[in-house]
This record gives sequence, structure tokens and C-alpha cells, in this order.
Amino acid sequence: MNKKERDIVLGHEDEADGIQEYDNPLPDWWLGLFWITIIWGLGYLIHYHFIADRSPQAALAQEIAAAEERWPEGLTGAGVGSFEVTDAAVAAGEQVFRTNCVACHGINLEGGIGPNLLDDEWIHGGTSEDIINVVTNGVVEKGMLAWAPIIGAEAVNNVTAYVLSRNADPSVTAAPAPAEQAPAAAQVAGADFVITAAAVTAGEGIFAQFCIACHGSNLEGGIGPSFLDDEWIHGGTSADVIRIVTNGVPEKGMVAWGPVLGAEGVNNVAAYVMTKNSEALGKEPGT
Amino acid sequence: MSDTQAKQERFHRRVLESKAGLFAIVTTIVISIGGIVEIAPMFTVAAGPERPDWVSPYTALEVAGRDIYIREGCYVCHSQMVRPMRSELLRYGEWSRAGEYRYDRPFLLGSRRIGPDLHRVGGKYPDAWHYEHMRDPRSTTPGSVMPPYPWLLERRIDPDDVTASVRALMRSGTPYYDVDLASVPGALRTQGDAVVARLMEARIETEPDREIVALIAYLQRLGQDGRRAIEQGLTTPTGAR
Amino acid sequence: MQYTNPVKADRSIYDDDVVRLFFGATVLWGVVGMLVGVIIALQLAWWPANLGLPWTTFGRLRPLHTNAVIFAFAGNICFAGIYYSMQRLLKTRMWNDLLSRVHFWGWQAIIVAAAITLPLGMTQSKEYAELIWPIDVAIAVVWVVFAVNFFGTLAVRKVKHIYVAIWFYISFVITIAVLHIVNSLAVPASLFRSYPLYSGLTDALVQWWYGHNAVGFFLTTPFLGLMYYYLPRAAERPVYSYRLSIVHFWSLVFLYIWTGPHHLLYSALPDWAQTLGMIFSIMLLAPSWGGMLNGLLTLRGAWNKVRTDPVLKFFVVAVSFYGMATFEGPMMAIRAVNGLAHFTNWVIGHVHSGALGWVGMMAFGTLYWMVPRLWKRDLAYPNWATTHFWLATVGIVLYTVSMWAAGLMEGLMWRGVNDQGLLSSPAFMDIVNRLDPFYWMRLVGGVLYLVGALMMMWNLIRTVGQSKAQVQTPAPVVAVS
Ligand code: HEC
Ligand code: HEC
Ligand code: HEC
Ligand code: HEM
Ligand code: HEM
Ligand SMILES: [Ca+2]
Ligand SMILES: [Ca+2]
Ligand SMILES: [Cu+2]
Repeated sequence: MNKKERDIVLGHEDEADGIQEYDNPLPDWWLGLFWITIIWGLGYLIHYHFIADRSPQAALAQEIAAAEERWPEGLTGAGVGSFEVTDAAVAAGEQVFRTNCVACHGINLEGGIGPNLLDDEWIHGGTSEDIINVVTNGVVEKGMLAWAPIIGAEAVNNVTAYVLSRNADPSVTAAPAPAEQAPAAAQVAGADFVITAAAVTAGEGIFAQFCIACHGSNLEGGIGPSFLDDEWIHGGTSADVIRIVTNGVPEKGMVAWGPVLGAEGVNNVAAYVMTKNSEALGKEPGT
Repeated sequence: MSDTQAKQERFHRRVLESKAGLFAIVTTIVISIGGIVEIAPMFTVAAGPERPDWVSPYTALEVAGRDIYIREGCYVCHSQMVRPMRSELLRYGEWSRAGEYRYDRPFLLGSRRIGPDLHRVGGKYPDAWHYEHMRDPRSTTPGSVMPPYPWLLERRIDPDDVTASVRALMRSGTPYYDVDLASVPGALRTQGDAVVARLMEARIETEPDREIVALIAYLQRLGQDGRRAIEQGLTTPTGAR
Repeated sequence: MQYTNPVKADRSIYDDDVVRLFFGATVLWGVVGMLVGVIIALQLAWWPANLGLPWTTFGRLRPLHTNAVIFAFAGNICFAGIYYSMQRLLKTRMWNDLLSRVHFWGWQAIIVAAAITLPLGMTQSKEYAELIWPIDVAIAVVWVVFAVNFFGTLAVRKVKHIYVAIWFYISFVITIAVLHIVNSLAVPASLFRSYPLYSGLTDALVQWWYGHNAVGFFLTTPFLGLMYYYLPRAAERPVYSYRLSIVHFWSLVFLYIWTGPHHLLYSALPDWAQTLGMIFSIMLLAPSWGGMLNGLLTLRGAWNKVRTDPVLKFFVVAVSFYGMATFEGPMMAIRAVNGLAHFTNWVIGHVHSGALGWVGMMAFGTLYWMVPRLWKRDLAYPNWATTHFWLATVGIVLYTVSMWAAGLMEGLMWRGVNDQGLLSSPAFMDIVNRLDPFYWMRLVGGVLYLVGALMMMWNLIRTVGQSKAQVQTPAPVVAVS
């Protein structure tokens, strides 16, 4: 196909609203690509189904065999050392508890969907072996998951250490979260609390994410009280609000948000609540 | 250009391009081949998906729950298809066998995982967890992007609607041999009461004809037949997790 | 907007009124569909955007988005483009004016019915086939009306040989009818609910035989037809190769149908079907690129025009994105790749490079090209079209890059295993929370794309508004070369 024969107009434009067509040859690389994909496709089909007799199930069996070879003792017991309640284990255990267990056992282990872990009644026994066993294998029909394959044996030990340390001394409310996770929440922001526009907008986001469920999307209340009136169960000053939001009212279901939001988060959401309250009552915010 | 190619083009122009009717018929044949070759074998035992007897159709309450699952578009964010890969077995459980979908009409495999796969969620959480989670996903899982469905806790199931669904499912081929349609309201009641009792254990009060009860019944059924069949060795398990 | 025609109704005067109707519907539904897309994009980044109402939750708005942008936006531009180009290619007025109007108003009624039923939760759940059975019946009836009018026009055409664009239109009309009817077979439970005739994995395969070919024969073949008419007309250059159009048409139309199972890889669908889906997707690469080549190589000798003409800018980028999407697709159909990409945002990136890139920009280019010919005047704001082009292009890049990144990260984290052999991210929420930055970036891309479409809408409203005032004489019949 020499240069001369390229870009010859076919002359059918009268049947194509004036659109002309060349009749250039199929690009070689394109034709080659087409043949390659056809030949490769047929080859793959024959190899996969007739020669190697592959299947996803066979590939999975190989994958599992390789895993068992690499981790012979299986997934749960990654060489579990002797169990003991150390500060490090308790601290690590609290993290495990907070990410996995709070949903059913409560931030302060007071229970909810899962049982209370602070009292002395244990459905499955209160020794460290009993707790490790129930957390490892779960109580599937009751909804308590088998956690070992999910979080691993070491994390099971740590969370058991945490549960035992809190059970031993139930008076301790949620220990302040370790420094790197959030600044010490217990310290009540006193004098330096100021309502800035930035704090209010940040507070609105926090409120939307954490508080609407109980206090309503426009603070009209629900499970938790309304913030649009002047009655406060625990006092209406910003210091009172910050204290309640930080330490919560566990027995009433109001969560201690200090460890979750950190001091700055608590300040922001308190600023938001106070501003909306003042607006509702028509007085100047911050009084 | 070789003369054979020229001859082919003249043929295409003379025969096909000048007879639109013939062009349409040839197109219809060409586009039908792929579909027939792939879909027809699905109705045969040899090449089609597994058709075991270890799975049974959904109960009336589960059908009501599945209708709600479809109505709210849960399938848009959740798949029901655990794939035969080790990471999926660790995260979700045994991979989904073909037979488990036998009475899934329509199928709900899903094509996006904005939320986790739900095919093995049956029995994973207590009913109370689902009740709270559907009311507000953030109450059980802070940070979730799943929308809240509070109206499911209020709206009621219409037994006539569920009866119509079961009748249509029977007509489209689901073998509800032992179910006579008059018994549907009763069946809804008994299974609903069981869910209400379990919720009462977690201090949650509701009534058996609330939509949340039907949805919980369906969610708790997902993957159970397959899990039991695998444990009893009725299907080929893939070995230790 | 009837104009009285002094000359006795010469059958050769084309029915451009129905083109203007479809033109207007395209612009309207395009903006609506993209607005819903922006809303659901926001909902993934910030859940309160679900507004706590049943009708506005993501689960119900997402199918509204897909149905709006495919059947309302892409559908109407295909009909506008087909009715305009077909009459001129065949030098024949549409066979029956009444059928043209029944098709138009019937299709818009179906769209309105969808906009009502989907937010109410009335759905069959099968993607791109969600509409309930009474609407399915209406779609079949209106489609038959379209087909009768379409083939009627072909039967009385004044031109002997049919041009390649019409081959693609024929495959569009026929295949969508077959796909829709077979995939909609269902037993009604009530006026608003039904159950499919098929169940389990057979239902899944029939759905994705339909699903892939909905994007195949609704978002590809008709748009290739538009490309073969509008691109050479805008570039005023001959089509690169008649021979290539024959080979790539028949191979594309044949191979496309087999690829449905690539949506069901690693499912419990029989393995032989999964393999067919995979290898036919690989074979589809060359035929798809054949269309791209015939488009881009037609621009040889017109590249200087591309710099100045926004219509050609849209077409060039559209055809390039078609090439990218049809390269990425076959790759994603390979088992090993699909194992990582399936269920992730990567798929959404692939979808929107095809949808925003190929479908969207072909539509915009076609609309802008038709304006002077349908309304006898130029755009009210000529340079807005170029601004729209850049907004759309940047929007697509932001959209696809953020989704590829999010999808890759999701896929890797779902399967990640640590050195103890356990999942490195067991908590699903840890992965979901990392997606926020990508969801916000995608949202910015989508908003830019929507702003471009809004600018187009305003531009066209002003253009059409002014043209009514000036033009009373009938549109000249001569084919504007
Ligand atoms: C989905 C809900 C849920 C989650 C999440 C959960 N649990 Fe449980 N847990 C339960 C239920 C329900 C029981 C009661 C089982 C029974 O009644 O036998 C239980 C029981 C227990 C027990 C035994 C208490 C007793 O009385 O014997 C311990 C210890 C425990 N859980 C610890 C944990 C730890 C540690 C975690 C996180 C790693 C956790 N749970 C996460 C629901 C949950
Ligand atoms: C799980 C439910 C729940 C959530 C979530 C919740 N609260 Fe509460 N909240 C309550 C309840 C119940 C009370 C009432 C406590 C009492 O009666 O002493 C309360 C009380 C309060 C009070 C004291 C009001 C008074 O009358 O003294 C404040 C302030 C408050 N909550 C703020 C918040 C903020 C800020 C958030 C989110 C960061 C939040 N709450 C999230 C349930 C909740
Ligand atoms: C916009 C996306 C979205 C929609 C729509 C959605 N979900 Fe979810 N779903 C999620 C996300 C994200 C999670 C993970 C976080 C959590 O547990 O809330 C989840 C978690 C779940 C879980 C817990 C799964 C597990 O193994 O932990 C269940 C059950 C569930 N959803 C059911 C439903 C039902 C039923 C519906 C419809 C009524 C629904 N979802 C609609 C996003 C969604
Ligand atoms: C204008 C801006 C747009 C935005 C912001 C947008 C956004 C979205 C979002 C957020 C989703 C859901 C993704 C998910 O489930 O994770 C989606 C899905 C989808 N969009 Fe868009 N979209 C836009 C335009 C379009 C256009 C113009 C088309 C087609 C012409 C289109 C076609 C689709 C399709 C087909 C899906 C479904 C994909 C699937 O199920 O995997 N979109 N879009
Ligand atoms: C050669 C051509 C193509 C091939 C082989 C191909 C392949 C694929 C594959 C393998 C997937 C599934 C991803 C997954 O879920 O795991 C997919 C999804 C998708 N593709 Fe393509 N693609 C092609 C071209 C296109 C084009 C041009 C468009 C749009 C104009 C498109 C639109 C879509 C849509 C909307 C989906 C999402 C389906 C869903 O899950 O809802 N594709 N494609
Ligand atoms: Ca999808
Ligand atoms: Ca339908
Ligand atoms: Cu596809």
C-alpha cells in the first residue's frame, strides 16, 4: 500500500450529507493488536479450563495452604506469652476496647447491648482465662464476636488486662486517654474559654456528628434535654456545660465526651451550644 | 489495496449498505449470538449454577424485610458476595456458594462496597445492635457515612402487601409448596414476636409489625443456610480459615 | 414554534422542530442529572446531606442520578442527534411527524415517572433497569414507536446507500429493544412491585448482559454514530478510513454482547462464563480503538481549527476519553486486576471517564455545533463555550484521579494482611474514614463540570430567546455544507 494510494476520496459524499470518506488501509499496529488479543484470548481459555484446570477455589486453597505454612500456629495464638496485667497492656487494651467494644459494652464498661463488665456477675467466669476465652471465641449466637481472628491474640490479652483493671476498681471513670490520642480531657477549660466564630462553626460540626442523635438537629432535645430553654439540670454557665460534656452523666446515658473530643473539641461544641441557647433566649452569648 | 479487500467493500456496499432491512436482520443475528451462548446454559444443570436442596425460600417476614432492603436502596452501598479470597474469608466468612442465591429474586449481589459486604451478616450482631444501628448508624459506629433510617422504627408492615409479594414469588417459580397464602399474616406475627422478644432482652420495646422487625429478620437470615450447609459438609469448604 | 411554509409541503423539508424539542430536553435533564450526581457525591463526604428524609437518602437518589444522566441526558442527545443527522444523510423527512412527537413526549413522560417513583423507593433494584414494570412497558411501547418511525424513514429514503453513522443507529435501536425486553420479564406483585422471571445467578447474568450493553449500546454505539456525522462535519475533513469503519463496526457489535460477565468476576457464576466475559473484553480493545482512530485521524489537516473551535475541542477530548475508558475497561476485566478493583471507587473513576469524558463531551460538542443550524444565529456568549470546555476537562481530571486513588487505596486496604497473617485493617470504618479527602476532591470536580453545564444552559436560553425575536422566515432547506 504505497503512499500514492492513501487519502483517495471514495466519492460517496452525495449519500452522506456531503461527508467525504477516504479508504485508507487498517493501520498495521491496530490489526496486529486485534489479532494478538484474539489469539491470546483463545489461548487463555484453553489453558485455563483444559490444560491447567484452574478455578478460583483452587487458587484459594493454594493461598490458604501458603498462609498455614507461613503462620503454622494458626491465626489466633501468635505465641501467647504468660498473661499479666501491666500498665502498658492496660493502656493498649483501652484503645482496643474503645475502637471495638464501646458500641455494646459502653464507654465506661457499664454495658448496653453487651453485659456490664464492672460488676461481679460473669456469665462465662471472671478469671483472666475465662475472659480471654470468651473474647477469643466469642458467644456468636448472642452477638459477641469471636475477636481473636479479627484483632489477634496480643490485642485480646491487652483488652482483657484493661477489662480486669477496670473491673478491679470500678470507681475509676474512663481513664484520660493517653496523651498522643487527645489532650487530657479532665482539665476543665475555665478562664480561657471564649466564644469565637471559628469555635462555633467547629462546634456545629461536632454537634452534628455526635450530639444530634440525642439532643435533636436543632437542639430541641430528645433522649437528652433541650438547649433552647433556660432550665439546666447541671447549671447553664459555660463552665457547667463544659464539665458535663467532658465528664458526661454516665448513669443517664450522657456520654463523657472529653476522651473522645478532647478539650478543644469540648470547648467548640460548648461554644456552639451556648450561642444557640442565647439566640433562642434572645440574650447576648457568653453571659 | 488488494483486490480481495476491494471486492469485500463492494459486497458490503452493494448488499448491506443498500438494503437497510437486511442490514437490520444481520445486526439482530450478530448481537444475539453472545447472549444465547452465555445465558441458555444457565438453565441447564451441567453448565448452570448449583441448584442444591440445602437452601429454603425466605419466610414471609424475611420477604417483607427484603422488599424494604430493596426499597431503601441498601444494595447500592452493600454487596452480598463474599469472594473466594483469603482476605475476604478473614473479613466476612466463607465465600458465597452459588446455591445460596437460588431463591434470591431479584439477585442482590451489588456492585459497590461503600459499606461492608452483608452476605454473612446473619447472626453476626444481636437484633438490638441492628435496631440501634438502623435508627442511627453513628450510635453504634461513630464516623459511619450510612444514612439514618428512623422511619423504619415507626412504619408498619401491611400483611396484604406481603401476601401479594409471596403470591408473585410463587408465580415466578419460588417453590412455596407448604405455604398457603392465608397463613401469611400468622407467620408474620409469630416470627415478628420472636424478634420483639429478643429486643426486649436489651430493653428495646417495639411491636412485631414494625418495618424494622422485618428488616432485622431478613438481615439475620443472610448467609445462614450457606453457613449451616458448609458446617455440615454439604458443600465443599475450603479448609481452615 | 411552527413556521408557515409558503412552498407546498415538500417532503424534503426536514422536521427540525422535534430536534429542537429533544435539544431542550437534553440540556434540562443533563443539568438535573448532574445536580443529583453532585448531591449524592456530597452525601458520601458528609452524611447529614441525606437530610433525614426517606426521599433524599443516598440509596434512593443514586439510581435517580444514573437513570437521569443515562436515559434522560444521553438518551435525549442521541435522539436529537439521530433525528437531525438521519434526515440529512437520507435527504428524507422523518417518516411520520406524529410518531416523532409521540416518541418525544412519551420519553419525557417516562423520565418524569422515573423522577417520581425512584425517590419514593419504587425500584426493581437492577442497575440501569430500576424502573418499575408499568414504566418498563411504557419504555417498550415508546421504543417501538421510535423504531417504526426510524425504519419507516429508512424504507422511504431518497439515498440508496446508508452511511456508517446509520449502521450504529440501527444497532442502537435494535439492541436496546432486545436487552430491555429480555431483562424486564417479571411477575407483578402490585402496580409498583414485581419479581423477575429469573433468580439468583441467572438473574445476575441476564442483568449484566443487559447492564454492560446498556453502557455499550446506549452510551457507546449511538455516540459513535454521532461521532461519524458531527466530527467530520465540524472538521470539514474526510473520514480517515471507510474500511476501518466496516471492520470495527461489525467486530464491536459482535464482541460487546459477550462481555457482561466481567461484572461478575470472582462471584459464584460458573467459571466458564467468567472466562468468556474476560477474554471477549480483551478482544474488544482493538474494535473500540478503531472508532477512536477513525475519529482522531479524521482531524488530520484540521488541527489548527481545533485551537479556535470549541466544538472540535469537545470532540477531540471526548474521543480521547473514549480511548482511555475502552483501554481501562479491558484491563479491569482481567481477573487479577478485577480482584483488586471490583466494588471500589476505581470502577466509579472508569465510569465517569467514559460518562463525563466520552458521553458528556460528545453531547456538548453536538449541542454547540447544532445551535447555528437550528436557530440561524450564533451563541449569545460565544466564548462561554470555550470556558465550559476547560471547566469540564478540569472537572473530569479531578473526578477520575481522585476515584482512582481512592479505589486503589480501598482495594489494597481491604485485602491487606500484616506480618501475623491477620487483616491489617480489620475495622471497615478505618478504611471508609480515609476516603473523605478523595470524596471532597471528586465533589469539586463534579461541581466544576456542573457549572460548565449551567453556563451552557444559560448561554443556549439567551441564544434561543434572541433568535425567536429576529427570525420569522422559514429555515432555508439547502444543506449547509
Ligand atoms: C455486637 C455487640 C458486642 C461487641 C461489639 C462486643 N461484645 Fe462482648 N458481649 C456481647 C454480648 C451480647 C455478651 C453476652 C454473651 C452472653 O450472654 O453469654 C458479651 C459478653 C462479653 C464478655 C463476658 C461477660 C460475662 O458476663 O461473662 C466479655 C468479657 C466481653 N463481652 C468482652 C468484650 C470485648 C473485650 C469486646 C471488644 C474486643 C467486646 N466484648 C465486644 C456483645 C458484644
Ligand atoms: C446517647 C445519648 C446522648 C448523646 C450522644 C449526647 N447526649 Fe448530652 N445528654 C444526654 C442525656 C440523657 C442528658 C441528661 C443527663 C441528666 O439528666 O442529668 C444529657 C445532658 C447534656 C447536657 C446537660 C444539660 C443540662 O440540662 O444540664 C449537656 C450540656 C449535653 N448533654 C451536651 C451534649 C453534647 C455537646 C453532646 C455531643 C458532643 C451530647 N450531649 C451527646 C444524652 C446524650
Ligand atoms: C450511603 C451508604 C450506605 C447505605 C445507603 C446503607 N449503608 Fe449500611 N453501612 C454503610 C457503612 C459505611 C457501614 C459501616 C459502618 C457502620 O457499621 O455503620 C454500614 C454498615 C452496615 C451494617 C453493619 C455491617 C457489619 O458487618 O458491621 C449493616 C447490617 C448495614 N449497614 C445494613 C444496611 C441496611 C439494612 C441499609 C438500608 C436500609 C443500609 N445498610 C444502607 C453504608 C451504607
Ligand atoms: C456532573 C457531575 C457528576 C457527579 C458529581 C457524579 C457523581 C456520581 C456519584 C457520587 C456516583 C455514585 C458513586 C458511588 O456509588 O460510589 C455516581 C454514579 C454514576 N454516575 Fe455520576 N456523576 C456526575 C455526572 C455523571 C454523568 C454526566 C453520567 C453519565 C452520562 C454519570 C453516570 C454515572 C453512572 C452510570 C453511575 C453508576 C456507576 C456504578 O454503578 O458503578 N455521572 N455519579
Ligand atoms: C472496551 C470497552 C469496555 C470494557 C471492556 C469495560 C469493562 C468494564 C468492567 C470490567 C467493569 C466492571 C468493574 C467492576 O465492577 O468490577 C466496568 C464497569 C462499568 N463501565 Fe465499562 N468498560 C468499557 C467501556 C465503557 C464505556 C465507554 C463506558 C461509558 C461510557 C463504560 C461504563 C461503565 C459503567 C457505567 C460501569 C459500572 C457498572 C456498574 O457496576 O454499575 N464502560 N466496565
Ligand atoms: Ca454499580
Ligand atoms: Ca425495570
Ligand atoms: Cu461492563
